Amino acid sequence: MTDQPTESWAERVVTRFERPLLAYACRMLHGDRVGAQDAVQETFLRLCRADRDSIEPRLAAWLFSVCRSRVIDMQRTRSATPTDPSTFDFPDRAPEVAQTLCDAEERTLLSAGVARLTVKQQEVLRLRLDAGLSYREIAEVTGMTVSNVGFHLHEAVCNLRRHMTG
Amino acid sequence: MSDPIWNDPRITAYALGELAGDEKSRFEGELQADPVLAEAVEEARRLTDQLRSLFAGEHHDELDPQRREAVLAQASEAEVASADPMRMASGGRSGFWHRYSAPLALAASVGVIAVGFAMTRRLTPLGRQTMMRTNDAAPAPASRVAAPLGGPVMREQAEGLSRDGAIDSLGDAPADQLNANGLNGLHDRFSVERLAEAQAQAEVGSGKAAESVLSQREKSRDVKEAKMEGKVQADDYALAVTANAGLSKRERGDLVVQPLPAMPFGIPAPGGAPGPGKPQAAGESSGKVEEFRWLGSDVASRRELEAVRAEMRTKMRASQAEFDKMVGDAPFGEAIDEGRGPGIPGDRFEPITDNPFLRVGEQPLSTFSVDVDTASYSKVRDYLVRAHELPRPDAVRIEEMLNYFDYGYAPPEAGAEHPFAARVEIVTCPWNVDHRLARIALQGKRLQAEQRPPCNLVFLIDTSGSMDAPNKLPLVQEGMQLLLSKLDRDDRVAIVTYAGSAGLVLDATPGDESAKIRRALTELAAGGSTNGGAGITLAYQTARDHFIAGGANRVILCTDGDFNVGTTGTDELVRIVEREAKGGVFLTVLGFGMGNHNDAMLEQISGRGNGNYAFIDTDKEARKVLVQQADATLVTIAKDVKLQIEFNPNRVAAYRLIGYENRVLAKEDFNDDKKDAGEIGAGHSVTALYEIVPAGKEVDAISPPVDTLKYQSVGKPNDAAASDETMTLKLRYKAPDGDTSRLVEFPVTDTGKGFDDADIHVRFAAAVAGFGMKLRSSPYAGKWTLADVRKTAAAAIGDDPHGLRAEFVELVRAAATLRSENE
Repeated sequence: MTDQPTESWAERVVTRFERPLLAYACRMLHGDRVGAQDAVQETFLRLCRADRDSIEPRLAAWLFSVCRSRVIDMQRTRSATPTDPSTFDFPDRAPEVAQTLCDAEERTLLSAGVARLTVKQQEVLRLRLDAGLSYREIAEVTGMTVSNVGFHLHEAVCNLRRHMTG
Repeated sequence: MSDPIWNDPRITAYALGELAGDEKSRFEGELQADPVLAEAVEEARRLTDQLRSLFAGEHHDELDPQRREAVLAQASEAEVASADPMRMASGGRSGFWHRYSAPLALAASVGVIAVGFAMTRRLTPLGRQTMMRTNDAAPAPASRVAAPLGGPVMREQAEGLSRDGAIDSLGDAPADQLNANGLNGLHDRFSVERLAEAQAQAEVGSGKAAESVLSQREKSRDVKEAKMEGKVQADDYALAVTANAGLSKRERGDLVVQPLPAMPFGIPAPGGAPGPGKPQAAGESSGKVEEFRWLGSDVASRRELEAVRAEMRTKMRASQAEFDKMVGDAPFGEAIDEGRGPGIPGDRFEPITDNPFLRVGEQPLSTFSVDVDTASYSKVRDYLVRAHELPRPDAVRIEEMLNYFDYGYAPPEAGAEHPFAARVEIVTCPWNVDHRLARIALQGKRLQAEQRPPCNLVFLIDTSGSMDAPNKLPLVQEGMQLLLSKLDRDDRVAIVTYAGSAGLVLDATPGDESAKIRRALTELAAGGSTNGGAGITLAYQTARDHFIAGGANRVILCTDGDFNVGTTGTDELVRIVEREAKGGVFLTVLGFGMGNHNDAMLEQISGRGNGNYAFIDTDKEARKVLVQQADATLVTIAKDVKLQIEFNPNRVAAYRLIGYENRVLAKEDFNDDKKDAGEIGAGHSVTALYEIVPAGKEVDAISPPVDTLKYQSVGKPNDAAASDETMTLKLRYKAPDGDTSRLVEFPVTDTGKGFDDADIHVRFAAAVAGFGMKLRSSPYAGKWTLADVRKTAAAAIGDDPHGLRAEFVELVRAAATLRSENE
């Protein structure tokens, strides 16, 4: 056990990963925000119960991996009890206008391109570029081989390039 | 735009910095030599950078504040727990399962498991459902679950196991996470069993354990308070384990035992005002638990402990009811009367939907297969008596409750053409006086002792770890001893066990070598997990090896439930069982114990195996099934028995078959000899009830009739309809070794008998059906209350040689108490 107080460690982890995890879960759950919140909360709860020392070195991969399991689990039960998003009354936290991308038009185009990728491609893309996982970690999370991850990522990039230029 | 140069995945990999070592330097060499490739890499880099910022721009959602708090609370919780010396003493996290067998030393750690498990059970359903209900109210599902006591690792494990298919999802998790969970590989779903196993010890140890754990942790709190809370929570473990809620609404009501724990149980928060509920109750009960610490395996003290726990549960329920009233909010306030039945997550029941009323004009034929099983009734009894819980509605099969009782039907006369006698009686329906109630009774012929053919019995006994409970393996052994007394030297007995591996414990032995059989029996010991598939194969093989032509060849499966390791799913097992039944070896399933009971599968495989299924909860029940009804259990007199009733549209407007939901057949199946149906054993009786809406009465319980057809006319009554016959009963059956069915057919006339004029057996059967409907919260129970059920049953007890009917009356009373319906 390190002497660092756990609370601040957990807090740091939550702050660091809540956004990418939520974005990832939300995308995987086809925009179900509540479901994403459930999955991410559960992920962090599990983190608290798990052995920190063994997780620490590959924290991101662990988090995404648990979150992914949760999401798949939820999708499995989802078909039995379909939920109607319209029954939720949640404040719409509208995205701030992205400052990072100067060309709004290009951004929209790119976003549309991403939406047209296969689910797998979207997933690896997000895990690599948003969550910052390495190929190896993505392989661990998704159960693919490392070279397969590379292949899918490259396919995604090629498709996007074609979309952007074509 | 397909640049061949873009076919190289290294472009993206390099742009993302994923290439290393030789590969990297080689690729860099190529880049230098090929400006087009370099350009491509540059493009990929640009694109991925854009994507990065695109994704980053989507980061507008963060975790809801309540959820965040819950997580952080859990984090500090875990910190304390990991510093807990009790957990260290148990040898770290992964060692739990393998060491709890030293109960005394580890009573404390079992307590941790126990409480952790209790908490866990709530996590899954709470998460989503509360969310859906509370709308804009604080969505804080898991914050309630951030249990003060949760043994984190155990909880994780229990949770993983508690959801079907969760193993798969865990399979996606990193391997060492799994190890930390103590799961031995992905297929060891049977750790659930071990949990159940731990239960026995937890029951005795929990008070003490929780106390010590708590006193470690609740330093800031008054020690006495901490003790009290610990007891209540530890006991709740039993509640949670025996009360498998899973999906029931009541689950959410369990909020009471969650972290606002002090409140409902009236344990004053430090320095705060006393909570609602019954402060004295908790205090008293825990005082009693104090007296029942670990007392070895002393059965008496266990029973007393059980009694105290039952009492506590009643009190908890009372305070919960009060709390619910106080809260008054729908999600937590409702469902007090909804049975959730006990059991751990392994308990699986097929959902049942009540048969609806059907119009005779549209569906004049009602077809179903007989069912002589009785398991549902004993299970209901087990819940009500032992667990003090209402059974889950899906655990209540009305036909099995009806068939549990002996209604004194006269057997067919000696030399009669058919092996059973059938009768129908129609009286006023007690829960709706405008309706009529038709009771159909079949009685199989009884065998004289000398008539019983020799038996070739193979006992297939589940000796997995979960069977190591007083109401399981010992009860199996006791039951078999009873049965042995009925066997003689023409009979053969073999014993096959299955746990981690299947084994032939006793090869076929003549029934009079009781010493040898007894020895084999007493040497059975529980341990390991279940490989039902291999066991069944071996058992059937043994039965075939010693097949007695013209005798009763039967595999008797004694188990508490799941067949998860080894062969396969239900379908595969059903196929084996079905194939063997065709070969003349039938199957009887005896279910034991409460937890881990895969009811749906056991019913299915026994049905397909030309067999019967009984649930044995007490030694009395063992005696009933294995001694009093030994002939019926062992000797089949008719198989594939189907009933078809044709109603007369001039007499009957609509009808409803009560129970038999999973036995209903298509009308075409009746004459189809290839369609499997139920069996009747020697002396078995079958009772079925129809609620009938007489012609001319409005049928309000069903949807309006469909329009008449434009191009054809159907359902025109003919001359026969003018008779005063209400219905015609048709019966098909095959001889036990026959392949073609025989048809029995006779008309039934309603003589207009009132309910009070009916004999006690008809009235008692009506009471049993009424009880079943009430337990299922069936909308068809009309105005009947449990009090009506009880009065009717109490007035129809009659001789009651074995006290079964009197016991029924007590069950109704118990159910009424649980529903706070007592007058």
